[in-house]
Amino acid sequence: MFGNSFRRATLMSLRTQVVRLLAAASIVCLGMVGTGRAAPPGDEPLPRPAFRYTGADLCVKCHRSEQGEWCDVATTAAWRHDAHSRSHLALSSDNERTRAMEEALGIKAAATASCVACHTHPVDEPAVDEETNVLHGGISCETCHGAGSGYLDPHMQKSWRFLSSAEKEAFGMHDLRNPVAKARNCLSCHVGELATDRVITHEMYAAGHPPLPAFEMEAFGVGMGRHWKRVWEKSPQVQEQAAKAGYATEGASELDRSLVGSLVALQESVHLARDYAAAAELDAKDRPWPELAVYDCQACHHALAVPSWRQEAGYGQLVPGRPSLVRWPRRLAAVAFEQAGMSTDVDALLAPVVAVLNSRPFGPADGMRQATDAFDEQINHAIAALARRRRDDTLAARERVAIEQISAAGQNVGDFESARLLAWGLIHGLSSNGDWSGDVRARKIAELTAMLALEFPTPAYPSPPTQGKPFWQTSLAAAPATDIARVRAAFELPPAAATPAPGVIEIIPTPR
Amino acid sequence: MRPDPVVNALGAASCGTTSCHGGPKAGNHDVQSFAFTIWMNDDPHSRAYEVLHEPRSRRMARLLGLGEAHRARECLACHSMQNERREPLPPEVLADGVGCSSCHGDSTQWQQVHTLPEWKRLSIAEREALGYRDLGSVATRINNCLPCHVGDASQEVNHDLIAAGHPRLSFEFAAYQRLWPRHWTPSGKAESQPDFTERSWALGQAATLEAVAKLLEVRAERAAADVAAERPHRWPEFAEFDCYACHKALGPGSYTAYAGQFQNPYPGQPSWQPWYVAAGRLLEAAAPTATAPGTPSVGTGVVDIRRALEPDWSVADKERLDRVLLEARGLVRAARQAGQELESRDRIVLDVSHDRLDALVASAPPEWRFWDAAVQTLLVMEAAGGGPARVGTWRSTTHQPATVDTRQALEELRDSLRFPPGTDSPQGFSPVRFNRDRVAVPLPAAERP
Repeated sequence: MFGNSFRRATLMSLRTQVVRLLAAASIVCLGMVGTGRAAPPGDEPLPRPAFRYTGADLCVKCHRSEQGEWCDVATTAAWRHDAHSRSHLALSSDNERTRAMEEALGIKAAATASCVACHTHPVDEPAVDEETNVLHGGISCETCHGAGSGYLDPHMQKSWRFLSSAEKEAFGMHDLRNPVAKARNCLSCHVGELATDRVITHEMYAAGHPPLPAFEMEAFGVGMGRHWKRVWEKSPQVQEQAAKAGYATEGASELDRSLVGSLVALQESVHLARDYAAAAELDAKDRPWPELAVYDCQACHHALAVPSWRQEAGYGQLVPGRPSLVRWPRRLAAVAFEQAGMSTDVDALLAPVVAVLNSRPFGPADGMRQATDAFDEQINHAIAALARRRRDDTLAARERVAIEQISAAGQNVGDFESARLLAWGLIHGLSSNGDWSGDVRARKIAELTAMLALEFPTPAYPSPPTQGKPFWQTSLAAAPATDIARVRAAFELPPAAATPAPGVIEIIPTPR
Repeated sequence: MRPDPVVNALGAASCGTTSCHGGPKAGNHDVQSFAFTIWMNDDPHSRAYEVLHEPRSRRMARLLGLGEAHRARECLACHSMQNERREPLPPEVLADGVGCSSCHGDSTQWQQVHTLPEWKRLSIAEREALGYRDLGSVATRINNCLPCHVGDASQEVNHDLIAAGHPRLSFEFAAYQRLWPRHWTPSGKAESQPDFTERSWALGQAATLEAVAKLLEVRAERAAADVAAERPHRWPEFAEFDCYACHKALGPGSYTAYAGQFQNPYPGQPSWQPWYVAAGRLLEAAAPTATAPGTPSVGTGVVDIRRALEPDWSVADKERLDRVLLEARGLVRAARQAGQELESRDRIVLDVSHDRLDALVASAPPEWRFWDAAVQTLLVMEAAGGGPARVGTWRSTTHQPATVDTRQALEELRDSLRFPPGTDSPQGFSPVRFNRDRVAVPLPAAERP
């Protein structure tokens, strides 16, 4: 009785705070619109981030227990296991690769904006001191969940659970259950984001930065050691509470989230090109156009072979021999478009971009920005359609259709990276969908995992970490040795079983 | 410079009757009487048109939107005797591919007369006035090859074509000439010059460099005009750059990953034509020529182009294109001058001694890390050493043959440079290993008896 009213009271007070925070934010926005660019630089105080970083040390105090009251995952232990916690070590000149890159580029990694932006946890005062950058650690809690000063205290109150995502956002906590928001968060480094300096230039790649492997949000999330539970894995009471609080943005299934992720990846890769083009139009000297890193690596970087798979694959609407934008999200994204009831012809959706790329090698900067607008409208429509889906009783039937679509796409796939994305999608589907026998599901998952090197070399928490090679190394080594004809065959599925065999095949154990 | 491309609509069949140039080969010692037979049977030029019907060509034309390859002007320009100055040729003449008239000149005016005794009394100039081309000297032969084997303003193999499936062009006249089935008697011809292989190599490289620089000039001029008019264009023209700078699988086994070193001082930027950079550097080292004040040598000319082209190679703006034009014209002048001086020499001697080549490699290490440079080095060694026995049908009648050991070593060096089976790039190539093997070749003295 008392507990209930207390909870209501604190909830009320949190809600009041939300209103205040939102009001303050809108004033800031209005002020910015009002003064706009007309204000001479230096007159206005720099806009401060709404919240400050409190540091992971504070998070660890609670999120370390194996079975705490608030969190049912050993978050800290899982994160320590996660490669993100060590990402800053790559900035140290003690690494041979880092040293070689620094020599070739004439930089210090720990004092270079683009390196720091992805390899360390952001700080309130951007440090130029290389020692500090290495010291303030790898990607940690607040990098993804948001700077903690606003929500640190509130989120310890019981009523926090009853706030909607938007209300939590007002305290500075990002809604990572929302697949679109989460994908954008991950892809800001795993594809790149110019506005935050999270970019790898072609010069950096040429100097030795490993290529970014094709990114599939759900698999990478599991692969790094999942430190959270899905809403549908939580206790019935929590699920009920989550439903009331509007946690419905979780997405219906891993497969759905994966499809959304592929659309966002495609969009972010196009946006990266668009943003470089816009920077070039503003004549930003440090961001010359074309930046080769926005193009598909394999468009140029393929060994020449006889007979040539590249020529057999064709070029679509692109003039042969012209670089294309990133291609790896397209095959899975085509399935996502299909699921959203839209045309699967991604090349046609990108036709204005292709026309720009055809007009001269790499395309002109000034055409690129306009060419992406129409595409954005289409892809946003698809993303919204898939993000609206719920975990209802049509899930199994929808999933089955998506599995069959991915299987069909996989049987025509042309390259390793696209095949990987499709395979991950198929694995997510088969691991939860019971329309095929357990044997078939387990066999397909194992076959594709082995063939496309989908297993993360460092096994996910709670398995003990081993000294595996980094993921990009296994993928680089696997790519040339992969027989694409065999991969295509592996995507074939037998007809679904007459009687469903429900049950989840756990690719990696659910966190405790 | 380039011979008039107007060709004979009569076709090779008019030359190839049994009693003229199409006689049987067996038991016959008069090459002139079966020149057509050799061309038809052994010379790839006779199948230049035929290949346009092959699946690869059909796919290329489809990818490029050219319609049918065997009707496309872009293909026929080199693969037949059709050119833009003529009415369409009849099918039977197109089918000749690169036929007699392609090199010997339009025979409309001399076909009759050249069978008569008075032909013997006509001077070369008089013959050429009738459209006949004299091919008795190395220089005239080279200029026949270059419009197709390097390209010019009206016909080129650009990266669009290569991406669609056309092989890259990498021309070295002496080696091509050696591989080519000879359909003439060498006596009284270029072959009887004592420095035939050396002359072929040196004049060939000079003329080729001139053509390469001219093509770059044409491409840069076009791009500059298009950039000024804000039209679509194709700059950078990827075919001007090292194929394998981009075309390598990413990973530890990558072609350029060796020794952990970069091929040029700008990470991520491809080098300009390493095949021709090596040619220029080797020509200057093996057969130095004097340069006029204000004119670069061929060796510095190619390096100047690299400097103009490689930094920010992907940017197309007027300033850059102007500089590329300037350097391209510099190399045109340098190569022409070198060619003229070499041609005027009584005897061309190539210095490919190990000391000379070692000094060259040491002078600009990045330029000698390329597979292209290794092949060019091998080719000049072959030209100076008489060529390996197994290669080609040409046999010197006037020269001391290279020793068996030299030929054997050159042959092994040549084999070491072949692409691995199933690939179309030098995967696994090691410049360190090549230079070690190169030094092991027992070279004949630079000055042969």
